[in-house]
Amino acid sequence: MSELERSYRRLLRAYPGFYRRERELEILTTVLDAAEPGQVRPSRGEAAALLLTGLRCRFVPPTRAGKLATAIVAVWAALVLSGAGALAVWAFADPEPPRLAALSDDLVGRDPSVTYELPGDNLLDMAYAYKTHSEFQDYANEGWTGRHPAPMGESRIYERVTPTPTALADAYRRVTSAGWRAGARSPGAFWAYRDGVLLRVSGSGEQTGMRVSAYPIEPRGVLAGAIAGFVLGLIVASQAMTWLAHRVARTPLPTRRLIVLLGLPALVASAVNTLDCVLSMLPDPGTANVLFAADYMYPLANQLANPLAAGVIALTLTAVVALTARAARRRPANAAALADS
Amino acid sequence: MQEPTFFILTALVRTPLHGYGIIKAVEQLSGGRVKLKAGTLYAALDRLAAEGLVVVDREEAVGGRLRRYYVLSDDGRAALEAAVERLQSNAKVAALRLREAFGFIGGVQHV
Repeated sequence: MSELERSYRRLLRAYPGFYRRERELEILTTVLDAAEPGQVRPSRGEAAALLLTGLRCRFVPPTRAGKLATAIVAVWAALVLSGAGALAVWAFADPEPPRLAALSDDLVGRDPSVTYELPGDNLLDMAYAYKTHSEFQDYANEGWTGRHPAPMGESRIYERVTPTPTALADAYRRVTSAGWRAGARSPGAFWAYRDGVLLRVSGSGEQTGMRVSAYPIEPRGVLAGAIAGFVLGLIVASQAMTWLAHRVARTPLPTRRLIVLLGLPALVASAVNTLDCVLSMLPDPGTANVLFAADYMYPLANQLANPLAAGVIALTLTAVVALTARAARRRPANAAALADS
Repeated sequence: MQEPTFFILTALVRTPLHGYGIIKAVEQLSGGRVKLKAGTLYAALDRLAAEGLVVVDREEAVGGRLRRYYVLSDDGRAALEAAVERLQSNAKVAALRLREAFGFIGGVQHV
């Protein structure tokens, strides 16, 4: 194999596998026919044309319907994979809910009336449900401007700590004098940080009692993991959908109509699920919710909690692949070259 | 219809041609103006084949090389004829206006 041919074969790898199987030799023959005698390297124009057309073949589906379907499914898949990327970073960081017991009872000076837990062992459950807990409803108004909590930890409620509604103010004094770096004191609650533990102290029972909660700081790099997952998802999913669109474009019209009919609910499910994930992740304007690192796992958590959309999509894709495979088997091999698209 | 596509169809009017043959014919027919790269040629051929304007006539596998010969289909010939008529009438309209405004006497027929 000459040096020129080797270079051209490398450039041709920009084209997807299914295209190369049919056309690589033909295109290679053409460029070698067109080469000057003694040429060692592909001209820049030829190289650029091959790269661009190859990538276009890989990522851009042939028909308008194919482009729409690819865009919808690729965005949905990328979103779900971004959730997986965020989950990977969380799992690697593996934050531990801090031990609250001794710390908190010392602070208040007695045993709690009630304790409960926000479990942190299942990260996806946490991402899906943490917003329903009252501790995070008013976050933006509670005067904490430091790093956000990972919404996992323990809470202890102490009833009737003071006879008058001064429990929260007392707690603030005690916490700051014990060496915690506290945020501004808001009427309902305040946050404080020391040694990797984020404390939330709120009043209860009309400020005669207190609730003390402790959380770890959310890990760094979750957004980067989510972005990496999203980009990877786009790259993989758009190539897969383009491959599928090419196959669909070659199936005979009756099968193609059936495929469109089957595909429509899956596309609707993808689009709706994407919208649902994005709207659920973003904090509602007008509320005091804030985007936490935990929210980046939501798109993945959503698929597990509401598997209908993912199920419909997976089943439909399987059915479409099966239909195109059956149609391809029915066609003779040289007709495949003729109907080349 | 874009210019490279127009010339590809024109090149395939008489006899079936393979990839390099098309590139050479297009360069000659366009007076050296349109120099097709292989990538662009095959993207155009894919599109034309999908639209049914061009079909594969035959294949020649020789010495580790593969040449596919393409030819105009009936639909392709009709499309090219329609494009020619459109271009001619467009050119006539523009030439008329130029002549009226500036005494332009273009529109000479090439042999």
